[in-house]
Amino acid sequence: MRQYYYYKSLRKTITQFLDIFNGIKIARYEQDGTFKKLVEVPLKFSPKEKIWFWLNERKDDEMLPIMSVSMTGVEYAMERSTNRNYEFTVCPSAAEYGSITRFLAPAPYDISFQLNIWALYMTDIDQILEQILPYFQPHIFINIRIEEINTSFNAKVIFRSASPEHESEYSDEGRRVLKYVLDFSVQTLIFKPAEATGVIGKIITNYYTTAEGFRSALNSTETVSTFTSAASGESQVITGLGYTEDDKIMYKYEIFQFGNEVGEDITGTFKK
Amino acid sequence: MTCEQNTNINIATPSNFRMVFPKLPQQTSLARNNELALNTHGIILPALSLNYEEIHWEGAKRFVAQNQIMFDQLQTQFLVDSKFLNWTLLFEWMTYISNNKDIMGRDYAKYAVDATLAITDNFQNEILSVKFAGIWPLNLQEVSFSMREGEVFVESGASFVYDYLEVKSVT
Repeated sequence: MRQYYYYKSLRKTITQFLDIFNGIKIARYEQDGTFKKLVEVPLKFSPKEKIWFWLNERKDDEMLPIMSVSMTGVEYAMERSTNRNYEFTVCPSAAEYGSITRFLAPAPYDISFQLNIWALYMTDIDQILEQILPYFQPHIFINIRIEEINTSFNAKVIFRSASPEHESEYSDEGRRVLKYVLDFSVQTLIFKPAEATGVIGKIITNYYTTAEGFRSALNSTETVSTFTSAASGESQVITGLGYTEDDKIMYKYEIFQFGNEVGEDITGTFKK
Repeated sequence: MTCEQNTNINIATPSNFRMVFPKLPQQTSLARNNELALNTHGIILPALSLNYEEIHWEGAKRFVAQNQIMFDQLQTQFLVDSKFLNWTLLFEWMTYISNNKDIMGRDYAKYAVDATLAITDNFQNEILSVKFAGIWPLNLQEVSFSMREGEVFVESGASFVYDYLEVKSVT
């Protein structure tokens, strides 16, 4: 947990969630019912208290209608948990060969959001709701891309409820403000730090039927990559694994099914 | 008196596992194994049992092992990825064995593989390696679709049969 990293998973979840409600417009009409103009509903990411400040302390501005979004909770989503021990890999880019990124399965979290709609007129709220609710049946998906690890995922946004919070009593100086509260839950993922790792580009396997053959290969400076079929009778199989890296060829040999006559295991490495 | 090992007072956690399949018979690469390994969230390490026979002798009785050891099927549960890569991987493995169209069966050696269940300690260090020798899928569970299920994710499961288990400690 000491390694610093910041993939902005939470921040991107918030901004993508806000983007769902960005640009909602309502129509204003003349008294005779003819269309007057379209008004874009401003969207704020702020708690209720701040909206309250805007509504009550800055009365000189025409603020309403306004929407505010606040994050109300984060919970671990056990039902979406995958194998958290599994390390999977992504390529930083398709063109970049020889380097991949490896990271553990991301942690699933449900983030609760509250969308508050404040308006002077009920028709404003109706128009806003009608531009939001039909899209949720009861969920939509947003796509969140994490550039640092070249991956993206679909986060499900679930509509929970919409409820009015209209006050019935007002003070002498107060004015009527209609309010609707919409609750949403976003199923997002939060990633652990990734680590870069190399790609195994080549695997060389050598087979030897005798320990002497293996020893001679071990001591030789040549890179032998021949295959000899097992001799009849008691046989030994020796396998070697290797990879290329900057013109170096490294082998690590392991003997298995070793015959009783020789009776010893040989492991070793050599470089050329 | 010598002390060979401190008593382990830590408790195993059911989430400490990784199921790894090799390249399956119908595959040409391991490309789609990631989705299966990542989304396999539940595995039951199968039960094993022996049969016994009751032997009576001079008024006493004794239970002795009879016949072969029995391994239960391997049951797995997995979340289906959004492209159905892991579900179709198992589907193709099963229909590689028999598809009721032009393949009515294959030799056992062509469709059975060895898979490994890696069990880790609480810090993801592998401690046990459970090898399922000669494993192949016996059953792929249904996948439910519904317009009325907004929150649940698509899940499925598979049952496997195998010849025997090998358990190795990894140090």
